Amino acid sequence: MTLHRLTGVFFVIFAVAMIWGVIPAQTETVYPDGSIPPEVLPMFYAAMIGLFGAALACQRAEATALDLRQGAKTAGFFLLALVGVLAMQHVGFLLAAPALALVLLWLVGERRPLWLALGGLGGPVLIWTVFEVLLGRLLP
Amino acid sequence: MVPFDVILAGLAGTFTPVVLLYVLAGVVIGQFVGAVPGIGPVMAIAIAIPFTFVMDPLVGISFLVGIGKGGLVGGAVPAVLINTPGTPDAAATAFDGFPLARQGKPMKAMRMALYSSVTGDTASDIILITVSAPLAIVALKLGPVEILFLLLFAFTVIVCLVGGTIARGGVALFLGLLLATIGLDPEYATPRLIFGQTELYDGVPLEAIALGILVLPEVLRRLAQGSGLSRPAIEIPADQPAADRRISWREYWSCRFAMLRGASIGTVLGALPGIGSTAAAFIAYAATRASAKDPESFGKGNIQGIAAAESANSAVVGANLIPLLTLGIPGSVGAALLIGAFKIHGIQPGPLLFDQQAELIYGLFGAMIAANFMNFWVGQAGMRLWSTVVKAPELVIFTLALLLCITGVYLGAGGMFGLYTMLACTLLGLLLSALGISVIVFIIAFFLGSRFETTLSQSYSLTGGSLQELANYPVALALLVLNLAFIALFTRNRHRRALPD
Repeated sequence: MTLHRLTGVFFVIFAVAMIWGVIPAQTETVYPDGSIPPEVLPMFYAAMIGLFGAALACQRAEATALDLRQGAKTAGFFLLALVGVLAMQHVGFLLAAPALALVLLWLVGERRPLWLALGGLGGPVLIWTVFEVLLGRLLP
Repeated sequence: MVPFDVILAGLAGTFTPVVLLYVLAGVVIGQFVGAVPGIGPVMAIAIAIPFTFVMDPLVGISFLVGIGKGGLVGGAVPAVLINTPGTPDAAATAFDGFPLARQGKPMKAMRMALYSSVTGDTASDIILITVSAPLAIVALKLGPVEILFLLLFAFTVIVCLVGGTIARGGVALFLGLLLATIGLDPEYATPRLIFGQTELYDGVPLEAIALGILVLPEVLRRLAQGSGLSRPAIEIPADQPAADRRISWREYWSCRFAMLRGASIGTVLGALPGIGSTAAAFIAYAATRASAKDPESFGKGNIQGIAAAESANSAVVGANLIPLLTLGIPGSVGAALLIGAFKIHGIQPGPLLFDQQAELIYGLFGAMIAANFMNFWVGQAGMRLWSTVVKAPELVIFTLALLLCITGVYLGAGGMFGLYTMLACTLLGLLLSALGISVIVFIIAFFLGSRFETTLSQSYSLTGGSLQELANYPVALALLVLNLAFIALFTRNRHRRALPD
């Protein structure tokens, strides 16, 4: 099965889950007063996603491959960003942001001391100084 | 018609030190990010939106417009120096800009790009200022039913032209609309799809969506692809004869038809939803080459090619605001982000703006003209500086962009909840990109979703849900016919070209 068809199947399953599971559970039943009830539009949108998904699943298209290695690297960087945000919540922006920036720069292969200092220390400290010190806006 | 004193008051509002300073800052930031390949003005506008929350609406929106305008000028610098456009809009500029730079005339190529960009942009702004108020008066006569069918037409055009295929575009459109239903429903004020999170009563924060969908996935992908090395760029010679680094008046004047053609194409395409500045630049370049006496000189450093491409892509910026300000419908993702900026300040873009916020609109027009002048002077002064920015390691800038996203969303979108929403949107953005679903269609649909629902509800009440009632709305029927004709024409052309969809 090609990625094209898989995408279509994915959105059909998504639509089915929304229509029979999520939307009924996450909308309130109201006494109708002539207006459109709250669940109608989300249901309609989900149904259309399912229809277009089915169309995708039925279409023929050239096989395209996902670059799994690249995808895994991107996922790794996403996890790092998530860890960085969690760290900011617990130890604050001033400690977590330079650490996050330095780790990212190191991982992408940056080894020049000047750019490591500028990107990993200078940038985060400048952001903190501008917003927290000069503008008085509290960062995490 | 907008009273003359209101127009004057609006323009006077522009020429205050604070507004001018922010426009200047926007232009400088725009040119800077434009010069960094891969960032571009759309990303910069998205990053800047949360920071405009604390600004006066005119200051904030003028700042964002300054970034957009500066970005298009800056985008030409890497196109000329490293044959890699800083923004997709500048891709056609590289056709002749890079060969001219390789002939030892990089400053000449960058100057031509700057002058034609400012010329095209100014021409388009004049059209915007001239036609938007009369168009808004016409638009004010449209009721909810007509607006509903206009929105449907805009959705069709965007899905067909930007969505890749109709099926993929359709998925993107309805996903965006579905996400926009999160929050209190407008009719009954009951919570919908909020999963117990009371922070979602007002919907998904705009900043989290804009940055999570448009910026962070691109930043993470570029970090995953990248190496910290700088790109080799053409050096700007220190001592050059004036003829090799300047554009004489005669050379500028010789490009007047190319610039006029580019500005016209850019303005017309910019006023239509979904086509965008990249297409405008390529079409203007092709048209100028086709009408030239020496078409074989194109691609070898002909300044006419640079003039056509740059005037066209810059003309799109002003024209993009025509449907945005008169109808509330964005013509591009940049314009969609401006809807977000308007909404953050509690302003709904659309024809009523000219009635209720005329001072703001004419202030914005003044700021756009001021931004063009500043673009010119900053471009002149900063050209050599931007040529060094091209060589800066982009991954350092991407890392800082990530931190700015975190800062902006934390400050503008409700603290840690906003940050986690942004990260969830990032996952969604990565997934959509991996599956080939257009994030541009998705984000435009999201920004228009609440308006679509409101006009649909109003239309439902007006017509009592009866399709026969539509006979009383000839404009809506005409738009429906236009919509169907567009779909038929598009599908037929697709089949002729034997494309999969």
